[in-house]
Amino acid sequence: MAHRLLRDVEADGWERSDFPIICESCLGDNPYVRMSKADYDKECKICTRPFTVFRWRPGRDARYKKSEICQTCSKLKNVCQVCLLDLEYGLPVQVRDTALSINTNDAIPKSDVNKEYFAEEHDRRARAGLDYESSYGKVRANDTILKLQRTMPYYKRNRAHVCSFYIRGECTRGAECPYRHEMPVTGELSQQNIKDRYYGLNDPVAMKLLNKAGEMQTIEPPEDESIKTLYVGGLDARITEQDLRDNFYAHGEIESIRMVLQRACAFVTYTTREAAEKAAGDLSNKLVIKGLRLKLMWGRPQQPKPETDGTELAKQQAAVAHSGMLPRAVISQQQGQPLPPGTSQDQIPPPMPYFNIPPQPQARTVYPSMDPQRMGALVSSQDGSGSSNRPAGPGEDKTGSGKLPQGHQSYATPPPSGQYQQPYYPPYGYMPPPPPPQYQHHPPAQYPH
Amino acid sequence: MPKVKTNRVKYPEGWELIEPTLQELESKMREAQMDSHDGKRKCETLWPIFKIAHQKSRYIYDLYYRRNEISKELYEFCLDQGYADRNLIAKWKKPGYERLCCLRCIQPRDHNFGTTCVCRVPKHLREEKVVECVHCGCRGCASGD
Repeated sequence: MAHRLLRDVEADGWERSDFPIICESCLGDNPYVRMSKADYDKECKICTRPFTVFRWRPGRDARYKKSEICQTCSKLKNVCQVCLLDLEYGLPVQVRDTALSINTNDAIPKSDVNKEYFAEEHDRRARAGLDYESSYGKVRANDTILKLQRTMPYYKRNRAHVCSFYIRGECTRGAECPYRHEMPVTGELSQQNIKDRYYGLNDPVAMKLLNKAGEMQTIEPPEDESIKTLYVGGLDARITEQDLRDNFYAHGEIESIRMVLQRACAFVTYTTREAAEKAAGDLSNKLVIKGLRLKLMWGRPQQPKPETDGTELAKQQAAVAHSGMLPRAVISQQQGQPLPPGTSQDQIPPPMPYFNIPPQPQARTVYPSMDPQRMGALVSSQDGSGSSNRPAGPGEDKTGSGKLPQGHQSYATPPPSGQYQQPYYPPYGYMPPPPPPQYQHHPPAQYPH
Repeated sequence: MPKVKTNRVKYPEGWELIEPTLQELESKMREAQMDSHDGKRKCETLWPIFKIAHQKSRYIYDLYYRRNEISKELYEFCLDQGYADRNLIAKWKKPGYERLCCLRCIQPRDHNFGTTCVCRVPKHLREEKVVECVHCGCRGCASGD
C-alpha cells in the first residue's frame, strides 16, 4: 500500500523513465521483445538510488535481463544500463576512455554521500534541461577505437548462467534445468566488479583489450616489390564493388577490383605500389563496410608460400580468447591457412593472377538478425522444409537445422564444450500450425457395386 | 445446557464402493503433507500436494461424468465433504481445459503480462520441450498433448 502514497514526482530524486538505455546486444535479436516495467523496483548498483527497472528476454536462448544501473549513471558515462559497455563502440569504459583520452573520472565522486549527491544534482540539472554537458557526442573517433570497436552485436553474453549444481555434479533437474550445463571458464577475467567496470579502474577485460591494441601492428609489405594488390576477406553478398571502390579510392588510383563471391573475398589492385602500401597502412585493422569487419592482407602471386607472420597469428590466437572480439572472418582465415594450395586452385578460374585464398569462411549470414527468415519473413522453400521436419520429432531436428542457411549457426551448432545439441527453433513471429494428425489407414472396404 | 444440533454425516448408498480408494488417496495426501523438505526446491515441496489433489478430483470426476458409476447424490456428497475440488471439476467440463492441472496455472493475475502458466502451452508450440511449471510441477496440461 505504501507506494500509492508516493507523490508523482519523487522529491527524493528517485528516477522514473519510459525506456531503458541499452545496447543492441542486450536488447537481443527478437523484433517482438516484450518488456516489463517496474517503477522504483531496485536501487542502482552505482548510486544506490531507486530507479525504473525494465526486464525482458533478449531472444530465445537468452536469460531474462534487467537494467542494473539508473539512467543518470548510464548517461554520465554513455554506457548501456545492463552491460555497462559503451553504447557506440561496445567497449568497456576504461578502454574507451584511454583510447579517446577522455577523463571525467575526477569529476565523479565515488564515496557514499558524495556520489548520491552528485547523481542527484546531475539528475536535477538534466531534467531542468540546462548545462547538460555530454562530452561523448563531440569526441571524434580515432584510429585505435575504430580498430577495437565491436561491429556486430554479441548475443553469447545473453545466455543463461552456468548451473552451479552441475559444477558440483549434483544437478537433479536434468533436462528441465534452465541453466547451462557447462564447466565455467575461470581465470583472471572472471573477477570483475561492477563499480570498477563503471568507473574505469582496474578492469581486467579492459587491460587485456588495451594490451592487445598495443600489439596490433599493421601488416608488413611483402618483399616482392611488384605486388600492388590487396586481398580483402570476409565479404558478404551485401558488399558491392562500389562499396570497395568507395573505401579504397582515397589512397590512390585503383587499377582493378576483382570480386570472388564464391570465396567471399576480393582483390583490389592499385596502379602504384605506394598507393597499395598507403591503403594497407590506413585500413589494415580498421576496414569495416556495412557493419562487417573485413580482413586485409597482401595479395600473393600464384606460387604459394608457407604462411607469413607467425607472430600475427599468435596474437590473433590470443585475441580469440577474449569473448569473441575477433570477427569470425579472421578466425576462419586463421583456421584455413594450412590448407594445401591445390584444392583452392581448382575452383579458381585460371586467369586469376593472385592466389591468397583461404577456404570459404563457414558463416554466410553471421548473425540471426542478418537472416531475413528469422525476422518473421516467410521464405517458402525453407518454411516448407522446416514445418515438414517438425512432426517427425526431435530425432529429425538435426537434419532440419542442417538444411537451414548457415545463419542459424549460432543456434544449430553445439557450443564447443556443450553437453547437448541446441534445438532447432522456428523463426520468430510465426509458427506454422502442425499438420493434422495422420489418420490410421483404413483399408478400403470393398463394397459390391 | 440447551440442545446443540450436531451434523452427523449420513453416507449415501454406494459410498462403500468408493470409500477404500478415497481413503487411500487421503492417506497419500497426509504423507505428502508430512514429507520433509530436504533435497527439494522451495516451490517443489508443494508439487505433490497439487498432484494428489488433482488425482482425487479426477477420480470422482471420472466416476460420475465418464463412467457413470455413482449417483448424483453421492457425487454431490463427495464434493461437499471435500474429497474433490468443485472449481477444478468445473474447469474440466470446459473445452480445452479437460486436463487442467490446477487452478493457479490459468490465473492471469499470478503471471507476468497477464498470461497463463507455461504448462498450458501445447508442446509443439513451445521452445523448451521439458518443463515443470513452478506452481504445481505440471509438465503439460494442454488438451492436445
